[in-house]
Amino acid sequence: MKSRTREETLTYLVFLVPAIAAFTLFFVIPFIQSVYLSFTDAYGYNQTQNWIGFANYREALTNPNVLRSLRITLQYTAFVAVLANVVALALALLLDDSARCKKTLRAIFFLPNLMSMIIVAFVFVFLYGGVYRSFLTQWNIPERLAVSWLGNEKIALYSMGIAATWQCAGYYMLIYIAGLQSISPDLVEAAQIDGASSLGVILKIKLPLLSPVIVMNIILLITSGLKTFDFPMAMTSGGPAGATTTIALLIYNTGFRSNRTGYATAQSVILFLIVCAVTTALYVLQSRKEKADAQ
Amino acid sequence: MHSKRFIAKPGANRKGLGVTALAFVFAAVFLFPIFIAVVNSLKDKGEILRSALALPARLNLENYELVLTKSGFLKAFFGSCFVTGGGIVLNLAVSSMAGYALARWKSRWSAFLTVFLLSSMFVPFHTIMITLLKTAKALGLTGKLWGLILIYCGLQCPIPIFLVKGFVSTVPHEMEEAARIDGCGTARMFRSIVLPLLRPILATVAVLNTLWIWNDFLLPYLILGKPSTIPLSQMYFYGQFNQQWHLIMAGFVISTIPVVVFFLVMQKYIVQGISSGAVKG
Repeated sequence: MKSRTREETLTYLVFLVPAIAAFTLFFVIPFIQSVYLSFTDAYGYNQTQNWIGFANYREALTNPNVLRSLRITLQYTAFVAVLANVVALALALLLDDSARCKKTLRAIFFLPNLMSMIIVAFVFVFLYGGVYRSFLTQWNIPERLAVSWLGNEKIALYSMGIAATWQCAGYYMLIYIAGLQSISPDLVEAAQIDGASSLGVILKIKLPLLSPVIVMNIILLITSGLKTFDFPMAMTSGGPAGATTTIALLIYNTGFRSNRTGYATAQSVILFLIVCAVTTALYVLQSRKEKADAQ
Repeated sequence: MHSKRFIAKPGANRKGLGVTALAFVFAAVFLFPIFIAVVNSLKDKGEILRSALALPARLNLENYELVLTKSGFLKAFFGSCFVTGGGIVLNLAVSSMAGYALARWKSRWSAFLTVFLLSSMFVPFHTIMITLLKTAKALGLTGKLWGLILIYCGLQCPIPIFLVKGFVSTVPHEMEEAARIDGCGTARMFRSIVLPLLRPILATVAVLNTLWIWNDFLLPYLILGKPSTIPLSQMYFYGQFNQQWHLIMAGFVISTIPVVVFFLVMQKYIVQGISSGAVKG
């Protein structure tokens, strides 16, 4: 009996080795190295670096470019988290009960999500540029009324957010549809018999029951928003004048363009801490609310 | 109950029409960018300059021909297939073994390892990107498709491991005990009894990870440094043919066809996978 347990334990260890080895090699070690480098003056991939304590962090948290980049990232994240959630919820509610051709419509809304963000970015650069200009000429709209979607510092970030919403709304719609399907039809029917309108059913029954799903989608959208990289990289290269340089793109530029790897890793650890703090806060809020609801 | 449904029907029908019409308006908005891309992929440069909204004068497939030859599309397509296929198979093999071991191994290490793996979900890729590239260079993995596969395997194993562990925990141990009494070793039992049970959950993970690896940009960009997958080839193509929108849109259409086909075949698993993630939270 004893030898069998030992054999079993040994097998389990053998089963664990490949996954743990790959995970350690490509995640754990880079992570530890990254935290270490953030306290050094590492430059490029030079072998030698000196310990400089919190100097990189001090520089990052006082540098206007980094602070601006953090603010831009938060603005963008908030914009997409709200817009994509509203669109996804609206689509899910539309497809929930009485619409026809549900499967086709669902596939159409999900379609953009299948595409690589890099390629979607190119399409939107074209839409905001050439296609929009053709639209202006066709309707004889004077040049002074024209909007520079990606060239205006105040607008570019939100133009990007609209592209992101187009790309991701279908994904969150699917999550909402699953949530709506778990609502008991009896409940909805009972309300309808009591004379509730469809809007009433949505506001009084569906949305409250959906609130955990809404919170989850907000968490997912926020965590992915904070890491936004592909769109600014491919659409604007962070411009105009840095107006769309998200923190992820800034880390990339600091590390690979300016070669200041130590400083870049410090910025990346700051991003990590922000993601941790935001996610934890949202989960705590959610579980506290669930507890309050249960009482 | 019956009569009520009967009376409610005509009203519901009319409402259904309104909702459907609204949904189709949304669908038109969603399809507009794709429509624009397809239409302009069939024009030549002059036609687009005249108007990007007009329909093409004639069916012109030269752009596609040029994309297929100039962007190295076929090579990138096979590169993407290799990385995605290899990444998925290796990841699932390694993760299902580990997930099974964590579920059955009665030790406090098991719980610790699970939490340890899952905590990686808090870490943005950008936090490890610089040092990961350093590690990849040191191991000679850069510029190689199989190197990228190994890295995907390490980075993407936590969630499959967690899902497999959760699933195996719900499967009664008796079946495995019975097999063991019949003289089956752990490894063989895993292959012939546990793995077939895992098939649905592995299919879901495989399908979702396929989309993710296929479309991933930054990691392949850093590791490969050349246009060996579809998103990379399109990025380089975009740089090379800057402002030549007829070609870039043709590239978009060609690049999108494989994923659309994949979606049509795997729709059930994709929808299931995303939805079940929702229920689990």
